[in-house]
Amino acid sequence: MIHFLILQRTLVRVFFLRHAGFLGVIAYLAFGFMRASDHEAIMEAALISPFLLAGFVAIWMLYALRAVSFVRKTLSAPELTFLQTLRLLSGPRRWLVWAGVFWNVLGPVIGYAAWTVSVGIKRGATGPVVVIIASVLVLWLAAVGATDWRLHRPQPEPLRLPTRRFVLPYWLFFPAYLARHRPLILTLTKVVSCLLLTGVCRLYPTDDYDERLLLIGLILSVITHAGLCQQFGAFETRNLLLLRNMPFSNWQRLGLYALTYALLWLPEALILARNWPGHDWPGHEWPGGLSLLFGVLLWLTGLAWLLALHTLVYNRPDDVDWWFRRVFAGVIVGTILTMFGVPVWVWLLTGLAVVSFSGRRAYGSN
Amino acid sequence: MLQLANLSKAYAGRTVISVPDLILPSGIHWFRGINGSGKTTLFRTVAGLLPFAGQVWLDHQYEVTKTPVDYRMRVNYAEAEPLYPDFLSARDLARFVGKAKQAPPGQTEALADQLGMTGYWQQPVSTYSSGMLKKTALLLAFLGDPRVILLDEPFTTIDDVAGAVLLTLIQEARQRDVLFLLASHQDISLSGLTITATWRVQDGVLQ
Repeated sequence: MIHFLILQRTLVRVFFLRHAGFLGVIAYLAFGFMRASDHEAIMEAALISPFLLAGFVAIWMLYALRAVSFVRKTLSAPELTFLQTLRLLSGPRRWLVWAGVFWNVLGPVIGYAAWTVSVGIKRGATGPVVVIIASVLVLWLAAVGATDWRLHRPQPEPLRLPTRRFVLPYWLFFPAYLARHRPLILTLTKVVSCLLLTGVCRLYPTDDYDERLLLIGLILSVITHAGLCQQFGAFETRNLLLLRNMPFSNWQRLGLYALTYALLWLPEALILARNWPGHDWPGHEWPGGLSLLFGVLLWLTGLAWLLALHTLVYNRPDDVDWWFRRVFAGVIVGTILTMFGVPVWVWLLTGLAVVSFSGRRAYGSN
Repeated sequence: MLQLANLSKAYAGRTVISVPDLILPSGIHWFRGINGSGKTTLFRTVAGLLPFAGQVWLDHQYEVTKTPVDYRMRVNYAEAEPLYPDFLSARDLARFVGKAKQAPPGQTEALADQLGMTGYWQQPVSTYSSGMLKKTALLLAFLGDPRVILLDEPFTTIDDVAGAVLLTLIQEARQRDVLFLLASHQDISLSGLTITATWRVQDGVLQ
């Protein structure tokens, strides 16, 4: 029991804290915009369409992959070396402990699968129900097996890349870290963020929408990056402590961060350019559309708020809970204010004001 | 000269280091103390790595929070147990720090050569031993034109040859009147360096 409780605190709790931003957006979309009856309609469709059912399983698999990758990586962290003592437990007992851990970590998947199964039983769809139960069981057991395997091989040989001839500039440090150590979170963040922006851009011409739709899409897209901002802060606190000793002014520091975030935020610019519902956009001319200037302001506002999230991380680098609470409150307040028609330029200026104020608090005055 | 006034650093309400008033004239100052006594926190605070209460003045002109850019340009620091992103090389880090600290042309390469790092400094730090990591930290601490260099446990993990090179670097810097703060469990007085003062850190208090 004590082993399970320790793993609960060191792995399960940390997993949900680290992914609170991403899971929050998913929950917001899945249970904010959609009603229970909408979910059941999709589940019924999946029960009669193997293709849609495969889509369900694929999404669950992606989640499980992320969960296993996180747990395996966390097990190798220097501060958790003591968890290696789990090897002293007997095999069945160890598997039982891991099964308990993954029952919790895979909770969202297991819960949604159970709901789908209950709908399937009501509809008498025995075949798809068996497939769902088997899929979840396989994911659960695979997660347990992969984690136990890592416990026995705690420090795998890292991938050796050829020696670089060029010097890596600072603004590429964090993107390089993400690509090397957090590829899944980077990919998922960018895919979800780009899909959100594509969705609102394509939804806009279908009804009598206005700029607020794009702004709500932007809020969700920015908040999807909450995990990346948190990772950025953790990366520099842990691996680049010397940064605080560098003779940079606040504006120099923010300039360097702006370069990094502009690079990370670049795919969204391409997505907006490709799908922009504009009245003055080549190939997308449409009298009821949005101006190109609004599009540019929208992208810059996203960049400003990413920087704002970043500076907020530095105000309390050791208090992830504090930061995520404010991020969630910000999403709710931001959505309400947008509904009341706060324009994009106000959001841009507010974001820059937060960057300036919070940046001064984080890095000191000059 | 370095002056600390009403310096206090606390973690979660517990004071880790407290220095009411301290003047460190030019020279080599040796800080001793058992593990957890507050040496590293003191060094990190003076280097501007941690927020704190109080003031730290350099040459009566530069204060760590009031003139952070000028202060940090002149105060360098080497960690006891340095940790860097594993995909970066010592060269990446040295170029980044060298540019920020306005290192003169050729200084980075010359230091890397002196410390015997040129054979591996293009390799990612994930391939380094603890001694190689320590040499990287020492190289970074001598970049630019510092007035103060803080070295936390500089002699641990490095080999005899690197230790001798480090002593030479310190002596050369002393000729330029650089102030050194050294934290070490080893007896530095045996190294041949002229120690200006020895300070004992105990329970977060300097004696």
